[in-house]
Amino acid sequence: MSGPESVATRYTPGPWVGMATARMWLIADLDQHDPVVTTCWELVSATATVDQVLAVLSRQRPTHVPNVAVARRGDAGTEIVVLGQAQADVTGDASAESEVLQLRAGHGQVADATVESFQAISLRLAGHAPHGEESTVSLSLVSGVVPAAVITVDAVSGTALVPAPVATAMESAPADPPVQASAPAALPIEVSYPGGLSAAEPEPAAGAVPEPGPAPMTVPESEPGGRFDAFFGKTVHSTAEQAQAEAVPDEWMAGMRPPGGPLPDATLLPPHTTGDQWQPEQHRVVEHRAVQTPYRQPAPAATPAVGADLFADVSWADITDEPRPSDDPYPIHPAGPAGVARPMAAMPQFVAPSAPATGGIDPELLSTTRRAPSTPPPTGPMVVTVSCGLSHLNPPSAMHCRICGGAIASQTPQSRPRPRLGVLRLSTGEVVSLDRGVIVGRAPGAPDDFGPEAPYRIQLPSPDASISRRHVEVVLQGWTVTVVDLQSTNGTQLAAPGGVAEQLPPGGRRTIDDGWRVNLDAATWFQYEVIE
Amino acid sequence: MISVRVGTATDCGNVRRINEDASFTSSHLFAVADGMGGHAAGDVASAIAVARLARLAQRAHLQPGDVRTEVTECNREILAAAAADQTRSGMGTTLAGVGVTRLGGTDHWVVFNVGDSRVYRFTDGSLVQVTVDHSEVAELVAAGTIRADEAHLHPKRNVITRVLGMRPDPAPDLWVFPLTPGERFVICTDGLSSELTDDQIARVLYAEPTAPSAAQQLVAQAVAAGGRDNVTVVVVDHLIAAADGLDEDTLQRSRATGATA
Repeated sequence: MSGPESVATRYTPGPWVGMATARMWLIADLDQHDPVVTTCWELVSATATVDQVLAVLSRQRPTHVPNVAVARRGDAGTEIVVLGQAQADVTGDASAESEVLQLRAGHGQVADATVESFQAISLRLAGHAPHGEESTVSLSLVSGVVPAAVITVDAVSGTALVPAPVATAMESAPADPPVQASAPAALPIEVSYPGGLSAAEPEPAAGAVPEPGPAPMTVPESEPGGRFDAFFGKTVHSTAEQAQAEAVPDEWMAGMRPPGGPLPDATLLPPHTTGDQWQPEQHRVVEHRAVQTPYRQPAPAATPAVGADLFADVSWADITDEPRPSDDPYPIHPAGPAGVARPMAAMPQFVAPSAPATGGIDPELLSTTRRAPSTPPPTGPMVVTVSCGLSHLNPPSAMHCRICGGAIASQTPQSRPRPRLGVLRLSTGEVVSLDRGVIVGRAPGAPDDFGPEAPYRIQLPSPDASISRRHVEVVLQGWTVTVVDLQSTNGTQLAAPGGVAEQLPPGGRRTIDDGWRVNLDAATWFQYEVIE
Repeated sequence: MISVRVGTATDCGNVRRINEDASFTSSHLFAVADGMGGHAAGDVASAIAVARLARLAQRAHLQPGDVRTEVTECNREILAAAAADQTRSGMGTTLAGVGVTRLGGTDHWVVFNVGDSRVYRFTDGSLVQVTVDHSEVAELVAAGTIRADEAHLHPKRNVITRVLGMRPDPAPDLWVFPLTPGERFVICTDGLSSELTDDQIARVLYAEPTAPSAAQQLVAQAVAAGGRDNVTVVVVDHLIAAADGLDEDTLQRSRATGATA
């Protein structure tokens, strides 16, 4: 063992979640607000095994296994695993810098390798072009979690890293498999690549690769079989050379559908092109992955840039260059001018049709598989908020919490889904939650049209019919609660707490605060109360 | 108490081997749940959800806030059940339904949903979707990115953004409005709405006079149209209005109170 044991980690800011420590690096298309990010970081920061990290990521979301690239320095070298549509580029030691191992798995699959030493490792997700093309920003990262597009790990001072003994609190026995002596005749990388490659044993391919350097990348000779079967099914081992020679990228980017080939119904068959390699009991996981990709439609002639294939035509540069303000947990993405959607899910996947979608869709694609949520619920109105010490949301101007009265520290306001603004307590005792507006009257009826913000309709009895059918509306606008008289026959009365009642004329409006009472007639009223 | 007639129908469909849907009906609370995820534990999740609703239905005076609370507790129960048994890890379920709640001395409907199961309201021959799907396509439609008629062909139409069994606790959307005599509700899993257009659903509702026949016919047509998923439909016919005199004109208060102006 010689050479420095330190590395320099850099990252290109981007939409995914990147993590780094001195021994472990990861990039995944997790939602940055997903609690699994915290769990994952706990593992990464404790230098858990790659298996442990992947298990958490896949167990957490069995219906939406994220795409992940992860590298970990251990006793047996540096282990690199990519899961799904991710990629790792591993540069060998300095004397063979041109020798780059590109590790790719493909949709719903796993590839892994272990190298004894490396000069640089770059982890990214599929479709993200090599650094420098769309973003030249590269920031230093010692340890932590960042919104990233690429994670790059460089051996310091040009010397290839050799394995460093690592104390791993969470590592489970048995320990990492031992590193075998390098096999000099072939690029001695073992890659799992199940995507239609031969299942034949790796064979030496003398002369087919560049002359190996003095410290070639090496891997265990025999990977324990079935290690990643729990994620996506059995992997097929092949040589790195085969993996690189295979014309993978087009198909990979196009969603695993062989050009012109039949498309299996995702609900009937194991997806992808090589169904016979899949174990039946793995269908459930895999079928969820299959829904999003095989979507084709004719490219409208008017907008040739917006086209047919999901991944092939998404403008990755557009998406990764999109500012992603970290202080806005639920950003709203308007459609771009070319119709490219910027979905809130981590993987940009969709090209919005600019022509009717009917007619161009393979009916086989009407799959009914389901995926669990990967994003926080973003529906409903957004408001700018500050938080008190108890995390109650408040208007940015608030000095004291509207719920608990606690002081509100100076902070950067954040845009969030509006919390309910309180309740209306009816004179009969029930409460109506102000998560949306309310129309109150003697016979307000049902709405003709519903929708995310359709006001509640509350019917209050009026034996003498002095309350109008639709008498008064409570309108929520941002943080403001306003009472609007709906041209009622007899008008509405308002009273602040301890104040004198004032008459709201038909059609009149008035903003109210905590404790205000609204009278529809002498015996019928409701009161606005600010509670959580 | 109002008078309703309820019909329920379900079918595994032509593709799935097990039915992970569940439904619940009582005299004043009606719901469907569409389970998913885990290793065939979707039916466990949907069963937990309807068992929760059955408890809720025993409450004397259902309040809209009770629905919200029950949904939160249901979410935690599903998470706990998933944590306790690894084969159930990641299971979840949608929930959509209609209940009768009493507010201000009057019966109201409370419509609720989490996920992409739906509640429709059918009156005077017209069908209106009450709930808003918690799905990525619904958000794209709401944002104007795609049109509503493109949604059911969209590749992300099955990606739902809220489900029971997720963290943090998902909030249900609620709608509250008074009863109207003669109205009919359709509560369904997406096995119906992904196979039949709203127009096709409306035709069946128009043609079928009773809630049970309407539910059966809707499920039969969804299966005939492909049946790619489990299909569950609850149809609720509201037979008799609770209140009278709602159509009278509002009286001037001076007249109504007998005072002389």
